[in-house]
Amino acid sequence: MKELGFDETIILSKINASDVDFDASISALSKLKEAGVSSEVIALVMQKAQFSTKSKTGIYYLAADDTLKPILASVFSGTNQNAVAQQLVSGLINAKVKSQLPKRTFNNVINSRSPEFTFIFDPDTGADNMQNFQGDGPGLFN
Amino acid sequence: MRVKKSNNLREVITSKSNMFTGSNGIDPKASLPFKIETIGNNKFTVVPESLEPGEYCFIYQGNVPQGRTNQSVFDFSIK
Repeated sequence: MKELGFDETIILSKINASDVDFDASISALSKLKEAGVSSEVIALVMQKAQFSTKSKTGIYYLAADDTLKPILASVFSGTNQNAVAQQLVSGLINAKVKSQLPKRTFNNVINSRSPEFTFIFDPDTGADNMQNFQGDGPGLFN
Repeated sequence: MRVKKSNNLREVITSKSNMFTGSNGIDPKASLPFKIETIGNNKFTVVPESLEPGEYCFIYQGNVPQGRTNQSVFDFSIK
């Protein structure tokens, strides 16, 4: 766009409106610099590369060092039901089905009481964005 | 939503029933309020209101495509 003579404001608007996987590698950025692209445009490309939906689908939290760290999904390891205990005590109390997650704590420890999460979805994906750790087979873990 | 610690596990109540009534899904008492803001195409910022130290997760409650049931959550710990 720079070579075609587009104004910097238009280039910035185009980058902001584009949902593509920007290449923010050192070599790609140096090519932009050599082509005379402004620092503002390069900074926006770097920012957009960090938030690209094409490569970053998932849930992230903002870590103390201002980087986005992914929250990986955990799969329920089983369920527990107290229906027998309910029948023994009284049919009036609630029988609860509890889905269980392994371990008492998770590895993703966040030290902030008001963490900021970023949800990134890719509408082009054929699978469900929130379920893509389960493979494609229906009822894989059922 | 908040996740309850139990022995060597964490638990999410997904169903309740007694001899008269039954309900499926997440207990509204365990769900937590949050602010959501659109920051770009298909990108959202979610900020829960002040979280006490403990175990939490994001759980998907919509209809799951391709006949799968919801078997996973995005979990994290607050210290």
